[in-house]
Order: sequence, then C-alpha cells, then structure tokens
Amino acid sequence: MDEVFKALADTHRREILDCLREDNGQTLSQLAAPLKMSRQAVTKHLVILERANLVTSVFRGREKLHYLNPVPLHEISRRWIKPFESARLETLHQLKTKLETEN
Amino acid sequence: MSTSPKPEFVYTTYIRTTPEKLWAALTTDDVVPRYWFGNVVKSSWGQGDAVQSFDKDDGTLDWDGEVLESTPPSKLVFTFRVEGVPEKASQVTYLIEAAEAVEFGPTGDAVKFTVIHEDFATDSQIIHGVSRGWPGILSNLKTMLESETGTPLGLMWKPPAE
Repeated sequence: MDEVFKALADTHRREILDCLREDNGQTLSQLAAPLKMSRQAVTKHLVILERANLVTSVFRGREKLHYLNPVPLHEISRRWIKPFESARLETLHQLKTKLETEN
Repeated sequence: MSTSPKPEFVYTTYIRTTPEKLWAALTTDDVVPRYWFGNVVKSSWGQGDAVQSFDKDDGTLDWDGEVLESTPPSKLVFTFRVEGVPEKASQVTYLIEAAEAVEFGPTGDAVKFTVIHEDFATDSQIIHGVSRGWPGILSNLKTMLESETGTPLGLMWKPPAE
C-alpha cells in the first residue's frame, strides 16, 4: 500500500492519471504531448505508477496502451470506508461540488 | 483484432495464488458467486461453450455469451451480452501470468490477473455499469484467494518480463 501513496504523492503522476481518466488507453507519446513533459520523464513516472498497479497496460500490435487501474484505490477505500458510509460521502461530495461550482 | 479500436477497460490485480487456483476460481460454478456479487455463472468453459450468468435473488438470466478461446490456466476469452439490452455483445478476456512478488517470495507465488473488456457497442448502455463492477469483482477475488492461503499479497511486486 505504501507504493500507492508514494505514487500518488506527486503532481505529475496525478496529472498522468487525470489524463488517462479523460482518455483511457494511451501510448507514451500520446501522454507526453499534452503534459508538456519529456518522454523520459513520463516513462519514469509510468514505471512508478505501474509498480503501484495504478496504471496497467496492454499491447495492441507494437503499441503499448496505458490504462488507469482503479483496483488498488478500490481496495484502499474498502479498507477505510464502510459500505453504509458511501452514500453519505457521495451526498457530501455532490454538495461540495455544487457549492464550489456556484462560486 | 489489429483493426479493432483500443479496449475500453483494462483492470489488473496481483494475487498471492497459483495460475491453476485462479483458473479454478474463475471457472468453477459454485465458487464464482463468492466474489461476483452472488451471481451464478454457468459454463463448461471450453471453446464454443455457452456462458450464462444468473441473478442471485430471482435466478433470472443476467448476462450470457460464448467462449471464444480457452487456454487453461492462462487465457480465457468470452463474449458478454446483457439480457434485455438490445446491443451487440462485448468481449471479455482474462489473462493470467506468473508475477514475481518482491517482498513475499519467489516467482510463481504471485499471479498477475488482467481483465480486458472491449468491443462495446457505440453509445453502449451497459458500459457505465460494467466499469463500476470489475474493480469490486477483482478485489473480492483477491481477498477470497488470499484468505485461503492466509497471507495477503501487498502492493509490492515486479511486473512480469515483457
């Protein structure tokens, strides 16, 4: 679990995850372009994200496609959030989103 | 396959088990409900065999499909059509690979399990539900198999060599 938190404790790596959330299944070059990071930097971050299992990949032909893998986050949330809390937390989240977008 | 668009979903979990035990968990009728939210999935899991999944409460057909490829204990491909939803079947692939657990033991003690769900209909009605289901199924499966071995595998591992 340390690996997951370490991987998430970096703005660039969270940007990569956001980028995959927007459009899942991207190659290294596709990821590097909008993030304004070098291919080397993205590669380094992807290794850390893959080690933490937050990113997984498949090969299609010669292309390696990267996917956001929410399974470790699901395990973390299941460890600390009880099932009956989920609905109330979702309500709070929606309230926060609503109020903050009104501003 | 090379002409098909990229897969919509790819999920991976690392489980402290053997490929054979994971295969058995995926293909044994009365084991599947223990991690698949109670759904009963019936199939002989040979190429060309039908797969049918029934609701745990009322026993009605939930989804069905056909086994396209069956290579124990490493690869299983089947189609996935949700009952009552008039759209073409999508496709599910299970990939099972041995992974080396850095902290917990030698090669073979851990398995990398990947689920690829792809080839959905354009504007699919089921895609949202499917994306919510798999992470839970994978973590239930991991918990079930690791409670049998007694030692949960942490999230420290080395990916299989590519």
